[in-house]
Amino acid sequence: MVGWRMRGMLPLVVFLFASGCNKEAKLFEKLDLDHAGIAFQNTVVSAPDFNIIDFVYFYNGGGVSIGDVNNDGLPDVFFSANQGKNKLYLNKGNLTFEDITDRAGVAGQNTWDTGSVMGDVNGDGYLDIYVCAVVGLKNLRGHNELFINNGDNTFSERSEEYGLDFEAFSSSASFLDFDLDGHLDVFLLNHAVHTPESFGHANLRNTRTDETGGKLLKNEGGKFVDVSSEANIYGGINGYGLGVGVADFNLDGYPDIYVGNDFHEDDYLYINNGNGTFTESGKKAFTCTSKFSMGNDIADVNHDGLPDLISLDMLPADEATLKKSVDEENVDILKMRTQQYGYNYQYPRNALQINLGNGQFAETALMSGVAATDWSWSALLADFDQDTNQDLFVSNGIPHRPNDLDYIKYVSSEQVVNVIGNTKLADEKALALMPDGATQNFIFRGSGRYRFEDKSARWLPKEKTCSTAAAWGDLDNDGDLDIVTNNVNGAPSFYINQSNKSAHYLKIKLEDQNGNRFGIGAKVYSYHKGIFQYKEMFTVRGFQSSSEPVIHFGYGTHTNIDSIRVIWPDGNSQLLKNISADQTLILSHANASSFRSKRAEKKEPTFFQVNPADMGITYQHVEDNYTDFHRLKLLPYQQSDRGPATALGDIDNDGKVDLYLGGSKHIPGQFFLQANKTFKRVLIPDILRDSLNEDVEAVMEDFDKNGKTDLLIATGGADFYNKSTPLLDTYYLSTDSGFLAMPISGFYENASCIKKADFDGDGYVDLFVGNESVSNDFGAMPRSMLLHNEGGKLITVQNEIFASLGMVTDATWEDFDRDGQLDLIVVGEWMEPVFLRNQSGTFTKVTRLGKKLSGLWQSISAFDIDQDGDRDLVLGNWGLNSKFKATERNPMRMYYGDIDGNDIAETIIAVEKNGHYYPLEGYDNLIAQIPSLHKKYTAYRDMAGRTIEELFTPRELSKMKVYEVDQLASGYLRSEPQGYTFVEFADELQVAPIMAQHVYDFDGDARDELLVAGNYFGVQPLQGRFGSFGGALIKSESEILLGIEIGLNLINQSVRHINTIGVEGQRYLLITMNNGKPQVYRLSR
Amino acid sequence: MKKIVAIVVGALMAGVAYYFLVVPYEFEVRFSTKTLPGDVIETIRIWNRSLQQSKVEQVVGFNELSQQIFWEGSKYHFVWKFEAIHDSLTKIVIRISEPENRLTNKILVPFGNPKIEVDAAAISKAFFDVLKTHLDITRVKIIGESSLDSTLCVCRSLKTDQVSKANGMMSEYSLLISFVDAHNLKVKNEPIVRIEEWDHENGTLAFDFCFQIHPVDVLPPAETVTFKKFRGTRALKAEYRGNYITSDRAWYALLRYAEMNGYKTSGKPIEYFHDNPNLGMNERNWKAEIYLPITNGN
Repeated sequence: MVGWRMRGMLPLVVFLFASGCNKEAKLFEKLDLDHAGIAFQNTVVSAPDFNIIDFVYFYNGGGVSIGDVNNDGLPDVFFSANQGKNKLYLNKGNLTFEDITDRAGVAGQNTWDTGSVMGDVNGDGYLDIYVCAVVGLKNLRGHNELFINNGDNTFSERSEEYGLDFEAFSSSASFLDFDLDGHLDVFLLNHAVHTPESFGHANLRNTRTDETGGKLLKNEGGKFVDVSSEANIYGGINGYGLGVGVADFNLDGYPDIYVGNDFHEDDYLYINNGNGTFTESGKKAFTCTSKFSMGNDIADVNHDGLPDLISLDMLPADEATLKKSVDEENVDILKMRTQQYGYNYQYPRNALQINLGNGQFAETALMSGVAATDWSWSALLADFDQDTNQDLFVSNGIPHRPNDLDYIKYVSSEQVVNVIGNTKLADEKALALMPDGATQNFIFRGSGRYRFEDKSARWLPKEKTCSTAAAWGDLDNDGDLDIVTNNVNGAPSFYINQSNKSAHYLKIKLEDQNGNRFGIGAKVYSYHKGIFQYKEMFTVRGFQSSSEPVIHFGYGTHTNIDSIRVIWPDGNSQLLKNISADQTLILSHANASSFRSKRAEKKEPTFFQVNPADMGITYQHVEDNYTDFHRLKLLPYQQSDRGPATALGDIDNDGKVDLYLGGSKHIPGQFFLQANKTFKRVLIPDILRDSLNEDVEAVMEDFDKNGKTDLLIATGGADFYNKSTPLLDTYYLSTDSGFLAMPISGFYENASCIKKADFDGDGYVDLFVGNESVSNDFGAMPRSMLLHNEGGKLITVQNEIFASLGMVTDATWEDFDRDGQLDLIVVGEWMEPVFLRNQSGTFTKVTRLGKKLSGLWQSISAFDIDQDGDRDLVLGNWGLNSKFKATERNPMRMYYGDIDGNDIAETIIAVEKNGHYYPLEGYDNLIAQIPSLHKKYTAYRDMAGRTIEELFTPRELSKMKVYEVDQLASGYLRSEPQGYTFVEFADELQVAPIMAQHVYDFDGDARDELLVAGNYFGVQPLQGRFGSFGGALIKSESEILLGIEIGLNLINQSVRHINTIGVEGQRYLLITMNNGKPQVYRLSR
Repeated sequence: MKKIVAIVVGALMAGVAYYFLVVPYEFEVRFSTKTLPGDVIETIRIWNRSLQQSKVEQVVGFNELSQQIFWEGSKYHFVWKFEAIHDSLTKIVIRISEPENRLTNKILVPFGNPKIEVDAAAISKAFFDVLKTHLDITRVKIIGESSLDSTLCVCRSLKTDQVSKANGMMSEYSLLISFVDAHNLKVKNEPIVRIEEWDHENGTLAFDFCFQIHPVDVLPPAETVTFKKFRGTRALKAEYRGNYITSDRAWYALLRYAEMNGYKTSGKPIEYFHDNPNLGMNERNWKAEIYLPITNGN
């Protein structure tokens, strides 16, 4: 009977599975252009004296704008072409179009057009069209053209009359009412071109030029006046502006402007001061940005009512293309650009900036899965599948890739560099070397939080194009958003959205008063079933394009919307309740009334920042400038930046807690002695003479119980190597005649932690000293040590077990077997948490984990996070926002060994991609460390796309030890009767490594909380910069407060230690950073 | 006639006996290359590192190198002979034997295509490719007689294999830079390497890797580095371009130039490095000036 049932069910299961697989149909169907009546093509023809070698933006393409130019309810489509004529297609319904270009008079006169945008410039209720042009370069002629809509399907070019006839290197423009005077102003974006002068210090941006950079044009009675200088808009020779987005980032009612700049110039975030001026705030706001910034878009992707931003770059997703393309700049050039030339941190990949609401953003593109979309131009954030979450469309592709490394190697060779551009033959060979870059466009499904899922293969037709400008609009009036791209050397793509068949929508058109008839800048809030959505009416999105002036919301299966609130640019508002989905609302400003938004109740901060100098703590940690990557070019991360040591104790034996704050190599540590509410810096020569050492950890304790506090400093720094004396940890015993320095002999490893406990109950405090690495030999097993306190003498014991723990970063004493004896749990990198059971002072490794849990663990603390009465173990890991990738099934690998027999061990990180393992590093770095590869592969194309097993022979790989990591998320080990189970934290805690933890009752509610913080910068530029974590106060597994909510200011700070200290009855939080000033916070209780 | 036959047979037998009993190799490869013997020897040393279980056994002057090579399951003995034809051409003869199969090989080589022949061709080709790449990406230009100024330096002293000089520099670079930074010493010009001992035959070096610094009134305490003052001197100068690992190509060129032009030299080259490899430039364009101090009055 059982057998029969199983046989009978099998076909049903198979059927269900098969039908499940087929269920997800293409979200977008490609429109047949012949049937639709679209004949436009943007064909770009190279000439010997004008091509991608002569003009860096030769393949940026034209523009596309969608809007209803004849107010018949059907959005029309306008294309601009680089070398050809513009086209205006009138939407005739049923996805058919009529070319009215000639009748309308919008074909244009320029020899090189770029972006096109629609906006009602003269406030007559009809959309006008503004077309940008490159003029003055290589004999390109003309000017930006403004086609004013006459309301009868004809237009008049009146750019001169309106003051918009610029002869510059324009790429795009955006309409906004920056001064809220009811009239649309223009932000015009121009791009720089490479000249010897455009490379240099960031202050090049301060000197305005006519052709390059941005221009703010104020609408003064129908004439646009350049107010850039007064408004503090940069227009320098290094202003490679390719993307412009407008949004009210800080929700103060005034529109702010984001400008994406290509190449070395920073992206600009112009915060509108509300008085006609802007303050460029990019460095303050962003931990890093995209480097070769192209288009961008702005929308609230995580439903918190704050506009988030994506800026596109050109990092390939395909492995072979990735390794053939220009890599990140090296660590020294990045240092020079940021420290000497004054630029912000920029990395060549897309940047997703999550607005934190305090003027700062968390950059999460790697974790969000949207960092690599190849040669990307236009980003469109919209709810394409109408499930309430913002999705992301990315247009991409280029006919020839000028960032191909073999091409660059050719053109930068000495023989060619002198003739390139002058010799036809050299140019032709160079052009032939540039590979084809036509690619599939990308689309990602948003989750409503930080993550996006790549749906390109499922949702889009399979095709390779060079799509540049892109815009959305509801071309077939079925409620969902269709996409149109302008493609270089091909017909445009019309992607017709099919989601109306399965999900519901609401569209809102706005009728404002005065000159801003389309309500540009209005905010619209939607509430349904507890889901909140927020949109702003700005039409210029993506790249060189503008989308339909309509607000669109998706509702999934829901057909009723609880309420819609519109806030018009002048602050008036209207509220609509109980609205049916699947309709287009036309809302008029006439029905709005004055409105004062209720500010969200401001939470009382737990921490109040105070200036440490006011308390006499005048310390600043300065990391010495040793760069680990000079010596070991393939290191996954540095070892030299793990300080400063921070120790609290009564060093002067006056009953008050003092501070020891360590120095890096050659820089002495400092003591701050507490006296009368403040601290006083003092030098203790017996201790400070060892300034050669780099102090990474320290503890104070009266080890010998003589009534005087002693000190132990653990050293690291990773620069000194072999048996260098400065690598020895030192025990300073306080005696009547001063401190007696006693180096702990035999252990030359780089230290990471010191944890004290009287593990054998003899009344003397013992120590566990964790060591993380061996200098100049990363991957070798560092020996940690257990120091048994024998009446004040610290003796290493049980070396056998403690010398082979792994690359230890942190540890905690905890009686995990509840036998009344303190056990030890040790965490580290490339290892699992190690549980050391204490049985009468003897430690043995025991298993407490049900599954593999090797990580890049950075910190640990014992804390009852699930509030069930026993202590769980909170583990700080690397986080998920990096190029490291690891799962239990496909762990990240680190190969360690001397692969090329030069007596120096290498490490090679390999991560899985499509079932194969590839080295994470680019080939320039691989070759620099392993020169023999150069002999094996003479061209990048020969090496690109090769797996680790193909790059190296089995014999070479057999010499390497392989470490693995299968978990990168931070989380906690929930204590359960049978052992511990790992639980990942939410995405907000995965944006950077969690390096420090501290358990304390911070809010005075008689229950302990756990404060965690981190961020880390010691990685190769290919990883970026992990600075987006502002810390978090963990009250329980369900109550986690982010640092920015509770008064902490830790974004862009790399936290190493968290301590609390009492000063005259008041508790303070002391947070020490690597390479920075400590922060002090007064606790609120 | 019998006598002639006897002489011919005798000569043949003597030849065969010589071939089987006296000639210490079974196969020979000859080729020429556009560089000097010393450079070829160093390239063999570098290449040898990428071979498994192989070792350079002996180097005799600039004329001969013997090497044991393990290749595709066979162990070969290579004797390399070098003859410098002129400043930029060396004739190379490789005599190859397989000690474990000497007799078999001697029988098979004249009549077939035995493994030793296949392997010898493959090994020689492998080395030739390495040498060609090396010569493609490095250039040496002899400038001639020049002079070096006196200079104050902060140095780390090292002993390494000749081929590991650059690794040594990489390891010490950060210790030097952090020392000069920590003590606010002003670095002038480019970092230098001064060879103190050079054993060409064993391929070992003792050298100082130094940063030149501007004079200061009081030198800071130096526990990890050494301050050294070097006197100015007349020297032969060459300009080298390429990876700094193989800059000793210029040493051999200078030694040969000195020999051909009657200069007596210290035999201890001094290198001035103009580019920072950490800045990721194309290694073909890295520049170094190489000096060989002149010790006679020519």
